[in-house]
Amino acid sequence: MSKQLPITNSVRELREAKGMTQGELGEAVGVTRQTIAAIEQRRYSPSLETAFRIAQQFHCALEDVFQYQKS
Amino acid sequence: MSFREISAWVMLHVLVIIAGFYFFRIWQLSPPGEIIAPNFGSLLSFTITLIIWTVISHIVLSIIFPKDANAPRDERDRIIDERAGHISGLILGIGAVTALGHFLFYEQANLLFYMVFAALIASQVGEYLSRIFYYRRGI
Repeated sequence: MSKQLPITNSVRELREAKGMTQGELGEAVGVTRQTIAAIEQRRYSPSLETAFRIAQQFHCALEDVFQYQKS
Repeated sequence: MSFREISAWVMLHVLVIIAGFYFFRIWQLSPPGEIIAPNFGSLLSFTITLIIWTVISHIVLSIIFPKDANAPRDERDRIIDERAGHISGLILGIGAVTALGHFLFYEQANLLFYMVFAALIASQVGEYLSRIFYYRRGI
């Protein structure tokens, strides 16, 4: 049922490398655990502000975390 | 599954069961080929039953998911609420226009009441269903 959005991301890999849970990351960037799960599964493309906050958490550039994939 | 999706599932069931029971009673009490006049008592008991079950179900959900129940809506929740609200408004509008159109041709005031009331219920059901759909499919 879930549709895959065109924006891919490395949130799961970066989060696991940092040893964070979805809940911890969500709390750090101001969204719920379920929203982080949806981002990781490409069921939700975050707002630009949240995307920057996530990248900031991993000390990465935005393009290192989120990439646009043409279908 | 997010707390808001669980809440939508619970409210969908509560509303469908209580509204189903209400319309079944109306159908039972109506003579064949007619429909009884709207009754304030039955409407009041519908409203009170719905409020009581809404409160009980949300108390139970808050006990099971205390952290999620108190969490404010995030950006994804707000987008889903907006889209579901839009669909709900469309259903209500279509239902109301259909009811008014039916009244213009058949002049059945009792039926007009029940059709608008049904549109109200359908719009709320539509809102819960679309909320569940967007949480599951993604936005």
